[in-house]
Amino acid sequence: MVEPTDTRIPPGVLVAGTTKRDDVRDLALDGAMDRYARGEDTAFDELYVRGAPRVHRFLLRLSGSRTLADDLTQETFLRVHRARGSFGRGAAAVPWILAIGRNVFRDHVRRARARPVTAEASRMDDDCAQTHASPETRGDEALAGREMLEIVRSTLSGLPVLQREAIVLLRFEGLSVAEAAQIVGTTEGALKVRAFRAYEALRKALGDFAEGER
Amino acid sequence: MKGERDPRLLSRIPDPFDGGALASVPAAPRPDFYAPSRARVHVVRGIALAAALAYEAFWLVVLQAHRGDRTKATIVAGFLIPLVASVAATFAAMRRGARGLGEPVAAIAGATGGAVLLFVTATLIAAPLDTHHKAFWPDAFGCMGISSLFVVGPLAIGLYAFRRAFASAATWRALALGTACGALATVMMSVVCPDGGQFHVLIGHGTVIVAGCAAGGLLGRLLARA
Repeated sequence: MVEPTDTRIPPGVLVAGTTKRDDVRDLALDGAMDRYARGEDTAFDELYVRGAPRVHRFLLRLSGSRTLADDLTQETFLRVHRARGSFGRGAAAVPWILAIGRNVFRDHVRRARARPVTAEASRMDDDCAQTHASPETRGDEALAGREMLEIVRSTLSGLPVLQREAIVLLRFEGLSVAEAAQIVGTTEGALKVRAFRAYEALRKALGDFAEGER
Repeated sequence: MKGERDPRLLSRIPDPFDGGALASVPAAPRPDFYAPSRARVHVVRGIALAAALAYEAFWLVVLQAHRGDRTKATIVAGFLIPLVASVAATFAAMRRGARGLGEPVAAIAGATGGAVLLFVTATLIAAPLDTHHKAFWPDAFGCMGISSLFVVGPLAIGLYAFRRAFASAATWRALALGTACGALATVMMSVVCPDGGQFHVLIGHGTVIVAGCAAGGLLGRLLARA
């Protein structure tokens, strides 16, 4: 099997792309969610401050659009409010809220029946790629880095939703296969298959890019 | 796991949405509608359980328990096994699980499928052979009608009590809930129907388990998802 390193990932890009993984067990967030589930309405602000960045990031990666991610994040927290009584005592808040965020996104996709990538997304992702290339990279390397990120972004947005959510949860949200499978509501085996179909599509796209570079 | 499906390979893919684009989040929404607290939800579910049992008791009184002879085999096949199936499916649907998202899908599917399989196997082994062959289908259809009466109430009450309750695998968990209601209806049928023949029990009384399972899955997808 050809490893993705064959695609000559420019220095800086992979390092910058590998974020520090957040802990799924965020005790402060769990505490805020627990108080909110008990009926303490004032805990909502803390819940939002602690939970919204992660939900927003997740929805941005799924949808590819900042505007859409903004709307879906707000919708997610309205649903969290509606379902708060079902949050179990001592449960982890992150997987529970991400699962609701995923439901919100799936409902949006069903409603829209359209590709979620918009002009806004493309514009934002250009900015993203520019921010992403390391300051040390110059000229060709920086350009290659931006092009590579654009390829990953466009391939990601072209993937079927089931594959996209699998790779976002496993690769970018840093969840284990078991955690991601529970959020998606499927078996671990099925999730692995989806993630690796997505991986193969990305690998192929990056491989084609590397061939073109040569 | 095959080497080429090692999740660690995914770490090689760069993240196009990392960096400055992730910095800000939108303003917090202000929920302006009532949402019950956990304690209130527990009270509602307790009342729902009591209401479902009262509904079954009402129809038992209306339809009256039969006075036919009951052998141990018919009690086991018609009453105890569906009761065990119903309890197993209820636990599969409602257990919180290690991460607070409920049991994994494989466990729910296993418990629900196992409950149905247990009912079928135990009925075939323990129940006596059918004796009224001429009237088999009219009797079976009659029992299907009565058993659907027994399943409608608990299923509707259950779906109300668990509306927007499942953050993940809502279809599977509602399907397990529907199976539990169907198995409960089968238990009630064993009380009101004197025919304990194995195929009569399987078809006339057991079809409602499958119907409850299907209805739970279809309606749960719409109603029970958070």
